[in-house]
Amino acid sequence: MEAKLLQREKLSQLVDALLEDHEVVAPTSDLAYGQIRSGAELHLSDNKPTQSLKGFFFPPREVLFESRRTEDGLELVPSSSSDAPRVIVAARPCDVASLPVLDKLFGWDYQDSSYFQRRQRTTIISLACDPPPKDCFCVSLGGSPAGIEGSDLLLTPLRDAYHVLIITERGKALVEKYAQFFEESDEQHNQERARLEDEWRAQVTKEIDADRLREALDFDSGAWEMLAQQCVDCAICTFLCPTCHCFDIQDEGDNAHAIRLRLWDSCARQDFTEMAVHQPRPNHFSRYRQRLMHKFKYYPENFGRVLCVGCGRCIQYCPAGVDITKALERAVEQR
Amino acid sequence: MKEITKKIRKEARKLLKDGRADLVIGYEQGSDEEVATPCFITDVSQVDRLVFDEHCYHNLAKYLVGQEGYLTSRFVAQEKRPRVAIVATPATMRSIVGLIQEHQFARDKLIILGILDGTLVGIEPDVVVGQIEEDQEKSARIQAQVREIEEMTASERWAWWEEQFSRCIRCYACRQVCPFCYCEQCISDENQPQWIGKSSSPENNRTWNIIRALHLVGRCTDCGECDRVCPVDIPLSLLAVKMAGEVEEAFDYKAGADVDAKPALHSFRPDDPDDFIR
Repeated sequence: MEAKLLQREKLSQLVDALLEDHEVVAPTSDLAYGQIRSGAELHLSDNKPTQSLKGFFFPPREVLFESRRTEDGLELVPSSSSDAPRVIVAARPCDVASLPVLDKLFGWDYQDSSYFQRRQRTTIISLACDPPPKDCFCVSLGGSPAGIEGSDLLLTPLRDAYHVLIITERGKALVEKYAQFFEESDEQHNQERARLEDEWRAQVTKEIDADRLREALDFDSGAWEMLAQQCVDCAICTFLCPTCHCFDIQDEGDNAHAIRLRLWDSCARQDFTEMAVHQPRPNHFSRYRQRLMHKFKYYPENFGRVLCVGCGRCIQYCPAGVDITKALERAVEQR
Repeated sequence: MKEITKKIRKEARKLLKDGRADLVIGYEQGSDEEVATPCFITDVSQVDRLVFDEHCYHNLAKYLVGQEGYLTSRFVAQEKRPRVAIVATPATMRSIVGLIQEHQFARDKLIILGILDGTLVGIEPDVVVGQIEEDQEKSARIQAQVREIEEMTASERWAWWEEQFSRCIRCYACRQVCPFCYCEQCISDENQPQWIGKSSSPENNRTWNIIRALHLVGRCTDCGECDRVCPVDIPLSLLAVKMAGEVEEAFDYKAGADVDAKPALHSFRPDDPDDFIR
């Protein structure tokens, strides 16, 4: 794969240049990615943002249409969404790797137009995790702290410069358009990049055996009730998860002006999929089971991929300190 | 801390062996030494999983109540509910006080293995299993922040809270870890009528957070769990402490301080000095 170098101090200059004809999204704090208006707003930190990137493709709150009451009756106004070119800078490789996983769902029985419009208009420049945070388990799921899946360019911090791996045609076009910021990379740089990736991969010690889980997870296991005991039924794990994608449709507003919305929902909730006075998973353990079975059995069966990229947010932020890697081990050991 | 762990195990073993408890709720080590997690022991052979250290801060009273709480589950008939013993930090004990006052369960339904720190806990534990130090620094820090906000003008204060609430992602972790959020159906889950818009928007987030704060006035015992778990760092403890101060000033009442007291906002007197209530 072709590569370039980008001096560290030139990253924010590159962002300023990109801003002339792109929207730019990047980590803005330890809490989240956000749209930035200058290279100086770029927040590069050892901590991965609490919230994943998924909201920039599958927004937590998306207006589908508006309705207004007029003298002639009801007027329906379809929502408009931007198709301005967008670049995401310094995305975590795990967050980016979740996008090809989500593509399968959003392109399944119909093409989700707003999701794919956002995919289409976005170029992604990832930044390798130096060092990988403590709760990650990306490697066991085929990822890496310097993973390239879903990215157009990957930055790897070497001593003074970023190594820039050119992954796609789109990435190549960006490098060519902004050629003045990039320098040539030589074999020594490439080797250093590979060495660092090996080093970081070795630091990711938590793991999940996805093949075994797909075989061994059992809906009728007696272990679920015990496993669900600690869980408090909040939606932190599902909302922070880059791959969880369940949504609800709601109306808000009044007779004069209302909006129909698509918003994030969570299988952990008591009222999830409550339709026609029926809750198919009335108790807590059945909802807990659904989350793990969906990620590691149903989704792989339906789409050939695990619904998890090993970002570790569900471990880091769980109010009850539940570690999904351990819970899964117990789920298959104590059947 | 090692001594506390030992004492907890000893008491748990005794309770399970003698058949005085069917379930001991406590803490065990999580995925590494920096994480503790609630644990539920029903078998004497598992007692040595129980630990107590500085990572054991979760308010375990949460697991007693609500739809599927061990003492109140709507899926388990009353006579089939387990006899529960619980490892209770001072914060957990104050919540237990409030829950008993609100008639969620009777005092004799619960064996309290209490850990004290010199602060008021409002209830006599069945066994004291240890003594820890109060985190005075944390409460001083929160008090100072509350004063800072009080000194703002009304519009500054509004803007400050709007900014905090704007981050809310409506994951409801604040509600789910709260022992006092035991309603069968939360107002935020109702949609006919829909009192609070479900999506994360400035108006909806503001409404949700203010309603939650008001529902907890005079009840919240300031365990700080909502603040601890909020993934987007909304400083919910500030609301709790501010409201507790208001209640204390108006009614000379402190939630969690006395299991025999009548909660300030749950009682009514025919000779109430205010007209509007009569």
